[in-house]
Amino acid sequence: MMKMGAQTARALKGVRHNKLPHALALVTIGLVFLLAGAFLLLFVNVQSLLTAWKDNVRAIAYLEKADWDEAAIADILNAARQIEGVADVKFIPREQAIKDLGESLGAQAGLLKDLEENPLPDAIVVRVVAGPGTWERVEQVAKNLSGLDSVEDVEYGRAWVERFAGFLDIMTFIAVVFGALMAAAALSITAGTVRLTLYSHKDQIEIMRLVGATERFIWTPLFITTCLLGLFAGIFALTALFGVYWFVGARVESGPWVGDFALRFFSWPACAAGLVAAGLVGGLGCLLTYVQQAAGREE
Amino acid sequence: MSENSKDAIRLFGVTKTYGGQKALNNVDIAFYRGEFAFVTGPSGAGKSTLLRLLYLAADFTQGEILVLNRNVKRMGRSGLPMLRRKIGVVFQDFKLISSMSVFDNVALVLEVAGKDRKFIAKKVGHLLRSMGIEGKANALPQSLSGGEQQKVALARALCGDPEIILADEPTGSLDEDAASVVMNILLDYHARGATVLVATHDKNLIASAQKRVVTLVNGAVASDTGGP
Ligand SMILES: Nc1ncnc2c1ncn2[C@@H]1O[C@H](COP(=O)(O)OP(=O)(O)OP(=O)(O)O)[C@@H](O)[C@H]1O
Ligand SMILES: [Mg+2]
Repeated sequence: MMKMGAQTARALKGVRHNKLPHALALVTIGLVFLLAGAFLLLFVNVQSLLTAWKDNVRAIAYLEKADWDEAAIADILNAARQIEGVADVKFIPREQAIKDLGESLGAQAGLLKDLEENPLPDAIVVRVVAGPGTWERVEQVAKNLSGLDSVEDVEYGRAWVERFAGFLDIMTFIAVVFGALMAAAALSITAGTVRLTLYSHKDQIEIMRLVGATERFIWTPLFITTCLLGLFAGIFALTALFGVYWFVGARVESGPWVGDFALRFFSWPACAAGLVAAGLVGGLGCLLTYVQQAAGREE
Repeated sequence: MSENSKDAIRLFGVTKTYGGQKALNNVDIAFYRGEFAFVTGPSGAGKSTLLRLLYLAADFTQGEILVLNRNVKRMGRSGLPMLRRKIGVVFQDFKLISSMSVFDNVALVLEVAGKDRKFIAKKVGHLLRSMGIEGKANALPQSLSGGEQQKVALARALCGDPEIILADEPTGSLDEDAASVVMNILLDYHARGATVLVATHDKNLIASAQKRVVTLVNGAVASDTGGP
């Protein structure tokens, strides 16, 4: 039996002497992985965007103009907290509100200096419990908030967000179906490509058999080769994806409309798992080819 | 020990058909251990087919074959490579691996058998030198002349020190001098105990060696002379 190092050396030698088929396979498999990865990344981001919106469903209750003392504010907050479906509440004093406004105006904050007095009211921000039925809940919470004595006006989630988020479940379903098809396509294209690559060794395999090579001796380096092929295709795809992410990420401004959302890339563990999976997919292509040709030779 | 144990190769009523046409027809023949024999006959007589059955590269239709006292029909998956390592074959079409250097082509046989690198380097170097092609060690086979390729094929067949050597037209691409060099190498291995079968058209080669000659015609043994 041969040591793994010697097998790997033979695998690399095989690649060196058959550069073109291996390069073609690398590019093909890399592109397939890139497509699959791009889809996955898009899905992850859309979902996290929608989740950010959903988790961030808030209602703002503007208080009547008055000098609220601390005890009064505590009462109002308490009353708001009692409302069913409220996750947490926060008091935003009008001074804070004008300061926030100034910050978000940035260079144009000077405009505020012309104001004789702060026109903004005190407010409390209520975050609604996330989960199914959020949209009905926020409506109910808003209604209850307006019922409070000291509240003058209530604003909550915009209608378009509502409609958009209604698609979340449908989208997830479509994504899962589409993703499964995509994975199946990636696997079969990879297996097909690996088979083509191995085909370039066909004569060689036959000759090795004739001089007494065992199947193990023949296939171990091929298996190593295809695992490496998958791995490098994965690295290529991941690098390219990161490039796109970096390019797009620099151009997406985070604003109030995206809530807590930030464009995401795969986590380190996810990247590592993806690369391992890529290598395994390559190896699987080799195994499929092995099983097929072994079945062919039995006949 | 059975009577057959002195035979390296024995065929009992072997028939091989290709699509209804008989390439070998009811062949009964034996070669004893350490024998040197020629297999001759016109083109298409079945010489290559006979050798092919002996290194188990093709099934046969009828009969039984024993090689080194193994029933080749009963050979298991793992037995087959082990038996092939005891047989060195010079293929009529060389069957060199085009993506490997001359050295690697020859070394393959020893790698397959699990020999270590130092041993392989020494052995292969020695063989290439004895055939005068050591300068081509790093070349790819297709850059060699037909005669040089034939020598590489012979070197590969010999480098595992096989018990049986099957040489299919081993001098087909060689001039007379080179042919006699090859012939002497084969006789040398025979002298050291190997069983050697040479399939050839070359009447001069046959005449020069004074050995057993089996003549095939239309897949059957037409004559068998000079044997024990
Ligand atoms: N793979 C094959 N498929 C079909 N027919 C074959 C095959 N191999 C050999 N034959 C046929 O079997 C017969 C014997 O062929 P074989 O190659 O054994 O002849 P040979 O004696 O070696 O001839 P040569 O001297 O030309 O090498 C021929 O009629 C040939 O056409
Ligand atoms: Mg022939």
